Order: sequence, then structure tokens, then C-alpha cells
Amino acid sequence: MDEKVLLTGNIAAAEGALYAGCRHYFGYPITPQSDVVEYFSAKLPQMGGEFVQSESECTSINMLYGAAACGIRAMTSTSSPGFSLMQEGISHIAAAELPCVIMHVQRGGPGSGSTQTAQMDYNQVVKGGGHGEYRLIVLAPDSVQEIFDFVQLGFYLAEKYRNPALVLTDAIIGQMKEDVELRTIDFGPTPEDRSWALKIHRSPKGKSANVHSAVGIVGIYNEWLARTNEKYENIKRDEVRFQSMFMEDAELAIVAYGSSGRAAKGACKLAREEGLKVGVLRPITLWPFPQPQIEELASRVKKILVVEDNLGQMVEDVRGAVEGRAEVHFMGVFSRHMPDCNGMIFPDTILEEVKKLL
Amino acid sequence: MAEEEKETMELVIAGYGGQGVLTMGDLMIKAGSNVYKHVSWLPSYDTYTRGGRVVCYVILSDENILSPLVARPRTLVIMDPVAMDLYRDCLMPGGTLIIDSCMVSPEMVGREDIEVIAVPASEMAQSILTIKITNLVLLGKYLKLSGALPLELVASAMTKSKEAVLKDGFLTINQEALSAGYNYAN
Amino acid sequence: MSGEDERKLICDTPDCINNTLLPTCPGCLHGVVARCVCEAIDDLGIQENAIGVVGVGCHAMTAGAVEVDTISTAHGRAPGVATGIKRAYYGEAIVFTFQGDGDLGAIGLGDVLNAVNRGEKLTTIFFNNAGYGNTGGQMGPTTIEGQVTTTSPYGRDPAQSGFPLHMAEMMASLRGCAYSARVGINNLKNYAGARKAVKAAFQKQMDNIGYGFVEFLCTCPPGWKKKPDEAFHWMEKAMMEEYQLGEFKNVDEIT
Ligand SMILES: Cc1ncc(C[n+]2csc(CCOP(=O)(O)OP(=O)(O)O)c2C)c(N)n1
Ligand code: SF4
Repeated sequence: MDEKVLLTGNIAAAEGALYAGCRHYFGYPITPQSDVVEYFSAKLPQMGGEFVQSESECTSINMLYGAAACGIRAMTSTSSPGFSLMQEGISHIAAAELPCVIMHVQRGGPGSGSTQTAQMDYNQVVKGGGHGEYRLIVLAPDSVQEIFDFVQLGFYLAEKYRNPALVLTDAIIGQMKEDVELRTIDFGPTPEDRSWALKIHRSPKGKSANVHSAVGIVGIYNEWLARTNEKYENIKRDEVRFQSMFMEDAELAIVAYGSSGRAAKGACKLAREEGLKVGVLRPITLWPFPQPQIEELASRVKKILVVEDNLGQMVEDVRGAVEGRAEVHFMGVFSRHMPDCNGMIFPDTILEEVKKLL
Repeated sequence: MAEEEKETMELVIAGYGGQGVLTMGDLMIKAGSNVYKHVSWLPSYDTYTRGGRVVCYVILSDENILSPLVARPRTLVIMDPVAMDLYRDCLMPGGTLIIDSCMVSPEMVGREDIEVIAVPASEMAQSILTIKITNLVLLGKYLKLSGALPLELVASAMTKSKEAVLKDGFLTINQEALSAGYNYAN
Repeated sequence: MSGEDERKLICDTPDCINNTLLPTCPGCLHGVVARCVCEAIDDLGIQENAIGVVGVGCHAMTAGAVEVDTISTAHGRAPGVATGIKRAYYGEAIVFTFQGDGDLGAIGLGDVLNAVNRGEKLTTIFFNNAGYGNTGGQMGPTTIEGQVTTTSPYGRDPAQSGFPLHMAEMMASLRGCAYSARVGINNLKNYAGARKAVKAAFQKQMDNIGYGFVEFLCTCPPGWKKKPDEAFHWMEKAMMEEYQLGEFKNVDEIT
């Protein structure tokens, strides 16, 4: 029987990793995700795993680099200021094409910002905050169940493509509690070739593995670029995920992800109760971005409302996909219910905006 | 067994750090998950856990919970004057406001379109043992008014919490506080 | 009881303190450290040139009480920022950092080691409360062996997570360091010593000699899951046993 329990999003992420067979975690405390670090510190020693509290996120990501290079399932998690510190390491992991999972629980920035919720790191996460040409597979859950599931999905996709995967949440869905069904999800087989990984008990005659991130110094640069480009194109073609709700006859579509996606769904329900033809498209993969779906949407609805808890980041990608074929409107931080860091964007505020637009 | 779909319960509780705002919500969902198909609990608090603002949004529902944010609750529990200023307006017209009248005076409400239930919760809690259990007195009153959950279920949910297990003697005190609130007649 | 007029004022508010209400917890000693620094600044008459640089953590909040110009930095990066300020004023500013054990001993260890090794003329006030206060009581580099924290739930095990970091001794071992001491503020005698130590550390900067470092043993009742008085006693017993008070370096020239 599948177990149903009440968990916060953060703990669900940790459980998701454990259910996915991850036994190695490296992390540094930072609000609002310190409970992930704390949870692993209690759990992993009892499960024959390894937990290390690093001295900084800089080191967390490098510990992850090392563990991932051994071809095992390993993870780290952090929040905004810590994610900034990880950029160098992430760029190297992507260059070395190593599978691993990073969870990022967004809080307000820039600088030390706030410890409360925000969605201000979309650009950094999706466009790559580190240097060079790389992409992260970015999954944006909107419920505790999805966090649990997507950490597992993240490991699968990371291994399938040998690319780091990132689960992007925020203080709302990271700290809220909901019921979660705990089970291991079988996404199918992942590539069996582990010749790239660092090994022990290696036959001295076999070919040695060389993990490196100096793709244009040690290797042939264009080969690397061509190979990763092909990989990225395949991911764009095959891995776009999104949720669409009430879209059949919608005249206005709300596009929102994560906790804002949740508020958008709430708003949509309220709108439908009043007979308003409103639908929601919620990107689940932020990279690959559901560009084709939004392109198609633009030919069906007259207006699109993008809701995100920032000053407008994903809205640029939506505008890019729409290319002027529909009106694109934006609702962000200034629509929070309180004019400070405790503010959040509520469904009824979105509904008001929808009514103005219809 | 064909079960009738129950009414969705939405509750907002507001106070400051240390008053047990989040624990109240936690007990609700622990007990509620046995009765409702879905529950959600969303905390929001300041950086400083002691003395900072704390709000908890709780939903118990047989339908999918689309958004965990409750903009217009039908019931609101207010535990201090600052929370009153910040949250009184979100309560739905015709809704119920439960206040700890030792902390907030009913005169502060200033709204005619809602029902105000004033419970001297801090005093009641103190007379049982300590003001630390004020939250449970208020929760008891809410359970009585809303009928959201049976009292016994919430009382037994407390046995599952680790604090309760740690202090066995405290459990009966907690349950006493819950019942006191439940049975308090205005 | 004797009359009001017979009372003698033995201790006034330092000039350098502004009476901001600190959001620190009951039983937290961070505010006392800030006061001690204020008194040292008063004693030396350096308020007008003093600039405070704070890291990230509860210690940073106490800088609000010191009536000087201050700047807050990223977690652990205060020594670098302080260097920039010191150099911007060609050495004329009296620059000090406020840093906690997580801030200085973990994430910012490299930063402070290099600043000291450069022989920067800076002063660092180090708040050692055996763990991370601000984020809710996790293990820090100075957490003592066997100490239970939220990330060492089975007690700090040196085999897994190493040893308590002795910063004051480590600083003393660096050639760029001119002064290093560990002080307590658990009684008046120690407090007087702490004030002297902070003055000495500032003096090394004023005399353009080298880095000054003062480690304060502090408390963190909620982080340690202890009542204020229990926390105080634990600090006096367990922490003071691990971390001996004393002056580890005091030189008039760095070589
Ligand atoms: C890059 C980064 N990582 C993590 C944090 C979260 N954080 C805030 S304060 C702190 C540690 C506080 O501990 P300490 O320096 O010992 O100071 P105390 O609060 O105990 O005074 C941490 C890890 C952060 N702000 N920035
Ligand atoms: S959490 Fe600890 S360090 Fe921070 S203010 Fe409270 S007692 Fe002081």
C-alpha cells in the first residue's frame, strides 16, 4: 500500500531523494530550506548514507560535483543567496556533463533580501547564472506531492541526459504541508553506460575515466559544443512538461508557475464560478520552456496574463513565444496582499486583474 | 460507503511568534487528514521566530485544493492587536471572528458585518496551567463553532505530536484546554 | 534603604551606543558584546572614524546599536569588504568587522585568513556561540564535541564532522596578526578584560601594526534549546572548558 503522510514541501523533497535511492547529500543551512539539511542529517546516518554539512554553498556544490562524478545519486539544496554561490560549480558540473539534483527554494533578493517567498531567481536558474553555454533541466512543482515526485523525476532526467537537474520551489511550497503519497516512481531505464564515472576496483588494463570541465582545453571544443547542443535540442523536443486547465474555451489564459501557478489555478476556479472564460497554462519545465504550447495558445486567446512573484522575468519568455499575436499582461510583486516581504499574491487579486482585462 | 462531500473549511489564524499559531493549524490538518480528502497548511512568518508576525492558512476539503492561500476566510482567529489591524478586513462579510479578549478588546474590531466571538482564552489557559496553551482554548472554540472536526479527533491528534509524547503530563493539560474552549459559552 | 542622592553612578551608557531596541532573544549575549565594543570606541575616542562591517547572522543585528557608519555584506565576506574600505581611505578609517562562528569560521574562513595574512590593519570582533543562531541552531565550526544541534542530532561526532575550531589561536599563528585574544563576558572581571582586549585590538590598527582579533564567548538559548540561565551556565562550563580565555598574541611589529 502506498503511504499517505503530511509533509512540508522541503521534507517531501528529502523523502523524494531517499525514495529515488539517493544516499548522499551535501548542504549548508539557509532559511527557508535549513530543514532539508536538518532532515538529511538525521536520516542518512541511519540509512547507511553520507551527510556532510559543508562550510558554504560553494563547497556544497563542489562536494556534489565529486559525488556525481562517481556516478551515484547525490543532491544538494539551498536558497537564493546560496544558489548564487553555487554558480561556478554548476557551470563546471554542466561542462563535465554529470547527473545530479539541486533543489532551490527561492526567497526574496537581491543581496540578503528577505527570508520570505519570492520568484526572483527565474532568470538566474533558467538562463544559467554561471558562465558559458549550458542549460539546467528545471522542474517547477506547485504542490508538495509534485516536489516529492519531481526530485525523483529530476534524478531520472539527469541520468538520462547526463545533465544537472534543478527543482525550483519557493518559501510557500517549500514550507507548506499537504498530504503526499510516498512511492518510488519508475520512469524507465536510464543509460547503463557508466564508463565516464570515476571508479574503484578498476582493472588496471581498462580505459581510465577522466572527468573534466575544461571542455575546450582538454577536449575538442566543437565536439563538446555539438554534442551538448544535440542533447539540449533533444531535451527541448522530448521533455517539455506543463499543466493546462480550463483551456478549451478560454478567452484569457493565465501563465504562471510554482506557487503563483497554484494561486492562478485558484483564481481560475473563482473566475469559472462567475462564468468567466479563463484558463491556466502552468509551465512545469521552465527549461525546456513550453514555448510551442504558448505559441499555440497565442493563436487561440486574445489575452495572456503572466503572474510571477517578481518584477517580470518569465513574462519575457512568454512575450518571445507569443510574438505579438496576443496581448501579454503582467502581474508581479506589487500585487502582493501586503506591501512587504510577508506579502503573497492571492487568487482573488488575480481574479480582480482578470476581470479588468476581460 | 458513499460519503457525502463535506463543506470546505478555510481558517486563518494570526498572532505573533511563540503563541502557537502554527501548532493550531498543524493539529487541524493532522486530525483533518483522517476526515477530509485533502488538507493544506501554509505558514508565513517573519525572519525572527520569537515575537515576529505569524499567520497560518489552513484548508480542509474533499475537493482538490487549488490554492493554499485563503484570501477571504469565513473564520478568522486573532491572537493579538497587531494581527487585528493587519487581518480584520480579510474576513468575509458574515464571517466569524474569534479573538482572545485578554489580548484584543472587542472594541477594536470596528466591523458590524461579522460575528465576534470573544473568548478570555489567556485567562482560561492560565487558570488551567499556563498561557502557553491559550492557542488550544481558541482552537476548541473554533471546533465547536465550525463543526469542522470532532473534538476527540483533534485531542487524539495531539498524542501524535512529539512534544506531547515528551511530556506525558502535558497531554491531559492540553486536552483540558481544548475542551475548556470547546465548552466555553459566550 | 539609603536615599536616591547617595547612589553613585558607576556605569553609564556609552556615547557610542544608540538605544535601538535589538531584536535579539532573551539571554543572548550578542548585545553585551556590542556594548563592550562601544565602550572601547569611547575609550579610544575613535567614533568619528570608525566604520563597522557586518556579516550575516544575529551578530549583524547588534551593529545597529553601535552609532557609527556601518555596511552589511554577504555571508562571510566582511574581511574583504573591510579591506576595500580601509584602502579607500588610505588607512585613515578605523574599520572593524562583526562576525559569527558560521560567518567567520565556516563560509568566510578563507576570507579572514587571507585578510589576516595580508596583515590588513583591521579589527575583527568574533561572536562564538558554538553554532548557528540565526538559522535556528545548526552545527557550526565551533560547536563542541558531542553537542546536539539540529544538524548534529546525534551529537557532534569528530569522525564525521571534525573538531571545534579554535579561531583565536589560529589567528595568532598567522604572521599578519598583531593581536589575538579570547574573552568572556560572564562576569565583571572578565568583562573588564574583554574591554581591554577590544581596545588593544583597535590600538594595533590605530598604530598601523597589523590585524587585531577578539573572540567573545556568547550564548544562544533558543539555538541550544536551553533556558537563558541554563544557557549561561552551559557557556561557563562546557564552552569555557573547550575554549580557554586568554591573550594569544600581542606584538608591536608583525614579522
Ligand atoms: C550564502 C548564504 N548562505 C547561507 C545563509 C544563511 N545564514 C544566515 S545567518 C547564517 C549563520 C549564522 O551563524 P553565525 O555566523 O554563527 O551567527 P549567529 O547567528 O550565531 O550570531 C546563515 C548560514 C546566507 N545568508 N547566505
Ligand atoms: S538566535 Fe541565538 S544568537 Fe540569535 S539573537 Fe537569539 S540567542 Fe542571539
